[in-house]
Amino acid sequence: MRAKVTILTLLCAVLFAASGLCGSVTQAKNIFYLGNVSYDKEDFKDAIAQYEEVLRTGYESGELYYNLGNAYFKNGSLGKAIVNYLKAKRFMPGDEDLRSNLSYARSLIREGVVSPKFSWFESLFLRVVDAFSLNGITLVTACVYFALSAVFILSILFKNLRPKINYAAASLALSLLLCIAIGISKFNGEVLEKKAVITAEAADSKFEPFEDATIFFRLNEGETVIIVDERDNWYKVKRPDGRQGWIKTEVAELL
Amino acid sequence: MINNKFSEMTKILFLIPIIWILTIALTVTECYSDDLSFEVTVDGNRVALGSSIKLNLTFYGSQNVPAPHLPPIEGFKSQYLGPQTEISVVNGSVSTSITHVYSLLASETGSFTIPSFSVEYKGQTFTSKPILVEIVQEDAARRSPGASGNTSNLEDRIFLILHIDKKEAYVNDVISVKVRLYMDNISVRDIQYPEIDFRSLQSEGFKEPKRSQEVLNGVMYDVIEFETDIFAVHPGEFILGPAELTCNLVTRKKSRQSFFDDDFFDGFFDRYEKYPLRLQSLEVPLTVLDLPSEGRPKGFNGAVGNYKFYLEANPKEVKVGDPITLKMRILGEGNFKTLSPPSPDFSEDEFKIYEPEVQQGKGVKEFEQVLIPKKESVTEIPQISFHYFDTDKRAYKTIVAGPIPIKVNPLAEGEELKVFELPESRDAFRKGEKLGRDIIFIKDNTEKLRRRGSYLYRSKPFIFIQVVPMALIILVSIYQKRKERLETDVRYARRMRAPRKAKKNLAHTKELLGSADKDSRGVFFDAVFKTLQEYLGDKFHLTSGGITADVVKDLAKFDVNSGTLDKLKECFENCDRARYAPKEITQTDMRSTYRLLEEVIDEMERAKL
Repeated sequence: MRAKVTILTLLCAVLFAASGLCGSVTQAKNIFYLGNVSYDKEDFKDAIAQYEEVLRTGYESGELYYNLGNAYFKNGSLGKAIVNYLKAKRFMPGDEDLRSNLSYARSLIREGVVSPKFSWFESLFLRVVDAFSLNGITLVTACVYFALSAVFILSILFKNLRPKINYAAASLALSLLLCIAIGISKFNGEVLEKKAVITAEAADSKFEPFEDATIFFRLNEGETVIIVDERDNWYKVKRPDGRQGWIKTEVAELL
Repeated sequence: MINNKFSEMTKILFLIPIIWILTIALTVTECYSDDLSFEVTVDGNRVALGSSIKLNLTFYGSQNVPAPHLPPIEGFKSQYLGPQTEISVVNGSVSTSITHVYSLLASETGSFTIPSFSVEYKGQTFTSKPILVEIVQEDAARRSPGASGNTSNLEDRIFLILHIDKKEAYVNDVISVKVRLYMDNISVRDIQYPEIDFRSLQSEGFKEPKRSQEVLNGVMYDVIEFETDIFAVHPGEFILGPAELTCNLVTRKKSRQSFFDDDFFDGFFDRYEKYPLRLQSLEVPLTVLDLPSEGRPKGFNGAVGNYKFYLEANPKEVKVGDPITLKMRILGEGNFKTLSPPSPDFSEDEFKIYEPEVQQGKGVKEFEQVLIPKKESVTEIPQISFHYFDTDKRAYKTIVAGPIPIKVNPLAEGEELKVFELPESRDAFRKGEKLGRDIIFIKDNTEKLRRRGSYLYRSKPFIFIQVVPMALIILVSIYQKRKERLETDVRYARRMRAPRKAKKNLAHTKELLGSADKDSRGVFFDAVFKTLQEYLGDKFHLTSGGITADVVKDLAKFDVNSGTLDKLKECFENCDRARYAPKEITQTDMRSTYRLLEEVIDEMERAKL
C-alpha cells in the first residue's frame, strides 16, 4: 500500500514538472507570436520588446533572432540588427533569407567592411565551416563515428570482408578527421572566441584603455570585432585586418 | 611603600616631556608675535637660458604664513614648488621659519630685476628688496660670462608650426596636415599628440611622429613632426587650428658651487626638474572649392586625386553558371576612404552580378566583384570606365579598361544551370529593370524554440552514446579472440568445456542416485566413473580412456590440493568396490560418493587449475 502511494506521488511530481516546462515553452511561443503581430503592425519597438522578452524566458531559436534582427533594422539600429542576424546564423547557417538580410545590413556599414585576405584553401574551408551549425556538425561527426565503428566491428567479425571494408573504413576515417577539424573550427569561432558587434554609431579604438588616449582607428556601427582582452569598462578588440585597440564596452554588444 | 615611590617617579617622568613641549609652544607663539620678519633670496644671480633658479620667500617667526601670489617677473616664468619649515633651538632660544620656494625658468637673455614686492599678513606689510639676475646663453653660463648667442627667447627655442600642403583644395580632396615641434638645444619630455580643431573637416588620427633635423633662419632645430590627412565634405572658407601641444621642459636645477657640482655627479643625483609647457601654433586658413559641374561625366562617383585604373578577370574560361572574379584596382594619390567602385554597365541578361568586396591599402584600393555568365554566347567582359577629378589639372578625367575576352562553355548534357541567387533578386532579369533592395520579411515559425545554450555537445545522453561504439568494439574483439582460440587451441577448448560437461554428467548421475533399484547401483557408479574420466581428461588434457584410480598420483604434479586428491581417490575406490562387490554397496555409499564427486569438481574449479 505504502509503495503504491510513493509511486503515485512520484508520478504526480514528474507530471507537474513536465506541465511546468510545457507551460514555459508555450508562454515563450505566445510572446514570440505577439512579437510577430506587432511587427506586422509596423510597431517595431513593441516587437523588439516582445522578442527580447522571449529571450528572457530562457528560450531561443534562429527564427527568433532573425525576426529580432529585422525589428532592430526597421527601428534604425544597424549594429543590433547585425548582432541578431549573426546569432540567427548559428542556428540556420544555410537560410537564404538570413544571408540576404545580413549581406544587405552589412552593405550599409559606413566605409564598408574591412575583410582579411585568405588563400583559396582557407576560403574553401571557411565556406564549408560556415555551412554548418555547431549542433549540425556535432551530429554529422557522431554519425560518421558510428559508421566507422560499425565498419570496424564488421571487419573484426568477418575477416574475409576486410579487403573490401578497408576502403570504406579509410574514407570514413578521413571524413571523421575533416568533421573534427570543422567542428573544432566552429567551436573555436562560436564558443571560445569572443566576438562583438559595434552598436554605437562610431567607436574610437584607442592605443590604451584611457579616455584621453590617442585614437588608433575608428570602428563604425555594425562592424564585427574579436575581443582579445577585457579591463574594467574596456574591451581590447581585433579588427579582421589584425589591428588591435581598446574600445569602451558600452559601444559594442557581445555575440 | 616602595611601590608608591615608583609610581610617583613614573608620573614625574611622564610630565617632563609635556612640560617641555608646552614651554616650546609658548616660546614659539611669543617669537611669532614679537619677531616676524621677511626675506627674499635666490640661489644664484647668473643663470643659463632655459635653466631655472630657486626664489625663496622666507618668513621668520611663524610657520603659518600662506604662500603669497607672485607678480609676473620679466625674463622668467614662475612656478610654485612648495613650503619648507624650520625650527631651531640655540642656547635655549627657539626660532621658527617658513620658506615658500618658487622655481624661476629663465626665458630670455639679459639682465633682469626681480622687483621688490609686498606681502600682507595679519595686518602687517612685509616688503622685499629687488634682486638683480643675469640670464645668459647656456654655453656662456658654463664657460665665459658675457658671450652672446643667436637666440635669446624661450619662444625662439621651442615652438610649434601648423602646416598644410595646400591653401586651396576641392571637396573630397586630401589635404596633408603637419604639426611640427621645433626644439633648439633644449630637453623636452612627455610630448603629447597635438590637439587641433578641424572644424567640420573629416580627419583620421595622427600617425606615428617622425623625428628629423631642420635648419630654420640659420639655426639647426630638432623637429618632431605629427602628420594626418583631412578632407572637406562641403565647400567653404575654413580656419584650421591653432594646434596645441603639451610637454614637459626639463631644466637643470641651479645650485651653489660644491664638490658635487659636476656633470659626473649630476648623473647620480637627480638635479633636473620638469616644467610643464603648453605650446600653441598660429591658425591656418583653408579654402575648399566645390567640384565644377561643367564637364562632369556620367557615372562620376566623387573620386578626387590622381589615379590609375586596372582591370583583371580570372578565370577567363568557364562554364555557364560558374563565377568569374573581376578585380578592379585603383592606384595613385587621393582620398581612398571615400572612393567607391566604378559601376559596370553589364547586361543582366548576360551576367549575374554580386556586391563587390573592398580591400584598401596605402595608395591602393581593390574591388573584387563576382560575375556569373548566364549564357554561352557571352564572349567578353565589357569595358569599365573610371572617372575622377584631377586636382592638378583641374579637370575631369576618364580611364577606360577592358573589354576582357572570355570563353563561356556550354553545360554538359543533362547538367542544369545552377546560379546561386539571393532571394530578393529572383526573377530580376527583365531588361533595364532597376530592383529595390531591403530586408526580407520575418519568419512565422515559433515552434523551434529551445532552451538557451542547449548544445548537443553538452548533452549527457549524447556524450554517453558516444561511449557505446567503443565498448562494442572492445567486446566484439574479446569475443572474436576467444572464438579463434577455441578453434585452434585444443587444450584450451577442452579445459573450457570441462565444467559445462561435468555439470551435465552430474545432473544425470543425480537422477540415477534417486532410483532405489539394486541393479541400477552399478549404472550409477559407472556414471560417476565416466563423469570423473571425462572431467579429468578435459581439464588436464589427458586421454579419457586411460584415466583410472592410478591417475591420482599423476595429478599431484598439477598442484591439486592433497585433500581433493584424497576425495578423488575415495571416489575411485568406491567405484571399484561397486564393480567387484556390488552387494556391499548401500544407498548411503552412493550418496557419499555423489557428494565426494561434487566436492572434487567444485574444489578443482575453485582452485582455477
